[in-house]
Amino acid sequence: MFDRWDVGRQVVLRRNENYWGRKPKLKKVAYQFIANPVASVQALRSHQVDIVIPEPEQFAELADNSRFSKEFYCLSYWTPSTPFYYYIGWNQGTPFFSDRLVRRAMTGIINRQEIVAHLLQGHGRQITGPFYFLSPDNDPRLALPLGAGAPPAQAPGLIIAYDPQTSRQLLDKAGWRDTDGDGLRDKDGVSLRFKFMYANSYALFERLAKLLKDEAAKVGVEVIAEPCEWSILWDRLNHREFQAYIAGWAGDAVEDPYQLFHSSQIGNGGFNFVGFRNPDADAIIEQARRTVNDAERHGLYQRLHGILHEEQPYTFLFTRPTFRLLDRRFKNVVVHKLSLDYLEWYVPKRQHRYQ
Amino acid sequence: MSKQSQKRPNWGLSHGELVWRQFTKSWLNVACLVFVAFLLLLAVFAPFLASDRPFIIRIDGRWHFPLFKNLQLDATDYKVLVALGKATNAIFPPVPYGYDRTDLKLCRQPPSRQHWLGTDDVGADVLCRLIHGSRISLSVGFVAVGISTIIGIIVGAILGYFGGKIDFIGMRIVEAVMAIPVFFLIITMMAFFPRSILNTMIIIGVTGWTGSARFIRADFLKLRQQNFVQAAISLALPLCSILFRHMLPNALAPVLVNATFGISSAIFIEAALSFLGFGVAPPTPSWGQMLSLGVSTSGRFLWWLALFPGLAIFLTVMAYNLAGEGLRDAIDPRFSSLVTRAPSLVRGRTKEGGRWM
Amino acid sequence: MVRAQKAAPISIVGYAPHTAKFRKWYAEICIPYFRTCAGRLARGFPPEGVLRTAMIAYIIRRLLLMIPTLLGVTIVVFAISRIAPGDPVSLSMGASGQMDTQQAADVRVTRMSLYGLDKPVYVQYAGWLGHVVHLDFGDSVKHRRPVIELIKERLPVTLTLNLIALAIVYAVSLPVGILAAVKHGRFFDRASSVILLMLWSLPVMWVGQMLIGYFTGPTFKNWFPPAGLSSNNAEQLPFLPWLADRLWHLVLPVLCLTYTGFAYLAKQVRAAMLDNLGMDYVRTARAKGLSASAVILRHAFRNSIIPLITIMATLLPAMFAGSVIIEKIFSIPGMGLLAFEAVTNRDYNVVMAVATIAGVLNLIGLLLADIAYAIADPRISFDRAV
Repeated sequence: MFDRWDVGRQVVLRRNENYWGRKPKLKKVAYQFIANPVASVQALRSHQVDIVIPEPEQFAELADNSRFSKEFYCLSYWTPSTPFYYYIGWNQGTPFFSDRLVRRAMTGIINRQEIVAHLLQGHGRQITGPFYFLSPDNDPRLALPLGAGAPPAQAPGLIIAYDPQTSRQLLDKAGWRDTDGDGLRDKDGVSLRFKFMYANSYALFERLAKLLKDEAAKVGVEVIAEPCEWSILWDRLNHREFQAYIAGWAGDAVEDPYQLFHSSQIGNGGFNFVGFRNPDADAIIEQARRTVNDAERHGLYQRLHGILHEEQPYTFLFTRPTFRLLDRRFKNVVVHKLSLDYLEWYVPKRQHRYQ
Repeated sequence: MSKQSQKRPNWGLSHGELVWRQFTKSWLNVACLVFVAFLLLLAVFAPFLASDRPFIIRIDGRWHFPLFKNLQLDATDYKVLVALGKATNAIFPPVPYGYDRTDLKLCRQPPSRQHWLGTDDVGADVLCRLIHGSRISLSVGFVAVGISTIIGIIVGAILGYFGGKIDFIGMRIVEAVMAIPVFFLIITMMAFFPRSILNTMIIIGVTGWTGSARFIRADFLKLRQQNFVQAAISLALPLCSILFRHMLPNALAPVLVNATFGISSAIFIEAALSFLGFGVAPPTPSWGQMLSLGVSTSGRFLWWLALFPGLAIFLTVMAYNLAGEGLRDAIDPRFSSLVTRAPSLVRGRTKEGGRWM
Repeated sequence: MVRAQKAAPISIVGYAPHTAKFRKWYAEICIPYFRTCAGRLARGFPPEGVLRTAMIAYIIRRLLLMIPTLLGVTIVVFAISRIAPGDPVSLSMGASGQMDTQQAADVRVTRMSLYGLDKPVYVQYAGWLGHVVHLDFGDSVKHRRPVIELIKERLPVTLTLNLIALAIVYAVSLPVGILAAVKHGRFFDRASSVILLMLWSLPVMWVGQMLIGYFTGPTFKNWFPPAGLSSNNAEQLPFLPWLADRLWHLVLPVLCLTYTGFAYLAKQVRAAMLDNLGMDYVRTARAKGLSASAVILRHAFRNSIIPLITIMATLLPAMFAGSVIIEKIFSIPGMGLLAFEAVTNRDYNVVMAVATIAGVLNLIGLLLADIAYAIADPRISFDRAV
């Protein structure tokens, strides 16, 4: 129940004593707005707030700090209710990326494992398709091993690994060779040089742009980083005035790839910015929209996953878990499949802090 | 002034030579000049000081000079070649790293033997990026100040020479431009136009010309009444010649001082813009952008990323400021007191009837 | 001229605020000066009728001239913001990824017409101007509140920050500048000049970054909070602890704002004092037998105050710009941060409002500076001044 709203500072909700169902143990919940992430972690440490949604960097650092983890839960969990992933989109309207081989070559020069290990400090997962990685929509042959002790990947050779040598061969095969000796590949007078667009508000994208530029230089491709404002990026995507870009998509528990991958969504305000056009994929998507049977639909989406992996309209990069930092005085904190349920928490009497 | 009393059969020392003599009397001014020259050398020779291509290398018995080859992209990893033994006799530049090379395994390392000033968030060498960053800072400084000085001279000369109605309207326009909050305008323009180093230079130049314009206008108003100008007018010399060949050299001194401070201010503005995220596009190194990496969102303080770029900005700006101060004192030790009074009222007359300025 | 001063060094240290000398100086020199100023103001200054008319005419002329200047400022900012690609509606819709594409197009068209963004540019400008005359700056697209409310919340914060900084700058620069002028050419003068210039050259974001890194985190000392204006539970505190908490949060930002001002102001004070110390009346006073301290602090200083008053009126709008960086670094919710966020989010109404207010402050600051100059210096007349 709504208790009060201090504009710009917090919203307080109160337990409804007259509710017919199970009564939660907590009486009041206050949502506070703290704009600065450093300040929010500081507030947590000084016990002014109890639960914080940290930035991934903060989480990575604090989780390693043993003193911190004694006082606070450092939770990182995967939940299908808010999956999101990052990807690089290749505009198939350009002479470079209309060729499937070039797209696969570009995927091959991005070392996704190292990115997850070093730039995300291990708090992330490489993905190969647009679906939540634990969902049955994923083609099992394209699933990466879940970790030590899990069954190994079914077809390890199928997933595109980091391999600049193969990328070079693919580019040669596609006809892009360095004919004028300037170190840059070209074909029919066009040099393989493209602009890579990203939103300048995310430091992670900037690092990925630098990484991409470096790796591409090693195979003879020139990447020009083009940071833009988020609104300009969105504008350009809608008008398809870009060559390659990096962004993320946030999804839902039940995902419909129609908006992103159906050919009718190219232009007219649709979100198929890269111009992916594949009749098989179209057919699968339309059929899946009409299929109510779960198992059938999963099968269809697995086939879609295979097609997307073959065509590489996007280079699917990685996804991240949900992070929470929580004061340890709350007991009965269990991570369910659909995230935390704070209605079942309680605090022992001696550790009560507020009235 | 007593300095002028050296009697010679020729015309004596020119104004420029006098100023130079006075300027070099102080060791601090000379030190600043030396530092500025050092920075210029650093900027010009940056590719030879910091690069991962060697000057000279011997592969399979043949000599190559990769650093001097005019390649757009050079994909070969020469260090790997040397390590594998395929190449010998390689001489690398003093800082053997490229500014856009990434190395994720070694990101965020503090200073060590391999990386003297540490690495940044993607593993590039900080010292190398500092050296290449000096190119951006110095070029933005010089070009932006060049643009603003030229615009200021032209506007000030026209306003000061013609006076009257043109001066009235022109000064209103100048005041209108001055009324716009400069930094806010710069941020607005940087946010709205594509990010490139040329845009940065133009924007900083176009927003900073009012100072020079006011100085030139004030001096030209005075000089207009002088005899030599009257003589030039009566000789029907072309306007350009009168303005820029005869009158301008006399009014140039405060403009030079202003330009020196302008360079330091332009370098600072560029660093501030890069710090806020509006500067040149990566991976082009910029001191301000490196500085912004110093404190991460987790609150972790990467001191080598905060200290060294900041120190570079500080020393550069200070050198130009000290040089500007020295120049101002050399031209006229009492100069600074005259032009900083209330701008508009200064043009009036005192009660006794004498000109206040 | 100035050589006379070198022979008789005085010590300003003896005039520290707790000493009797200071009280004597304050009582004998400052108070009578304030009285004369007040007297002139009370009698309706300037006393002569002709000059008063000239002054009023001058003020009216300046105010009238302000209007086209302000219009120019707003047109320039409006033009820039509209030329650029991107608009707040697309931005706020973002990559939701969950909207049906047809619905997204409809929503966009509706919202664009709601905010009037589909009309031609000059129509939009005329509309905005019409609203501004009623002091209605419109609504912020991002915050969904009237812009006036946002400004009312944030302007006091920036003003507090800047006024505290201004006070500290004056308190430090006046003695340093006077001393440097008195000891002209000697070690104190040169050393202070170099040190102040060094302070002026320190880039403010570097200082802010280092202060945050060393004094707000676990690295070195954890003395200050890293961001924000008050702690989270500040509202529950009674007044004095709340004030103390506020001040504690303001220490580092104020520190960053002040040090750049020292050099500028101290140089002005020094230059003004040097000018006056070289005048004939100082030589006359010394020849009459007045002590050096009386000459400096009673006569020369009173005349040097004049440029300082004018600077105060122009410094305030200048500090507005400097606080953008500091408010961004320390996450202080003031006008600077508002302007910065508005520019990045293409929040046109806020951008125009901030530009207008800053322009008005600038122009009023200049006008006040000129008027204050006229009050303080009876020699200035308005005959040929524009």
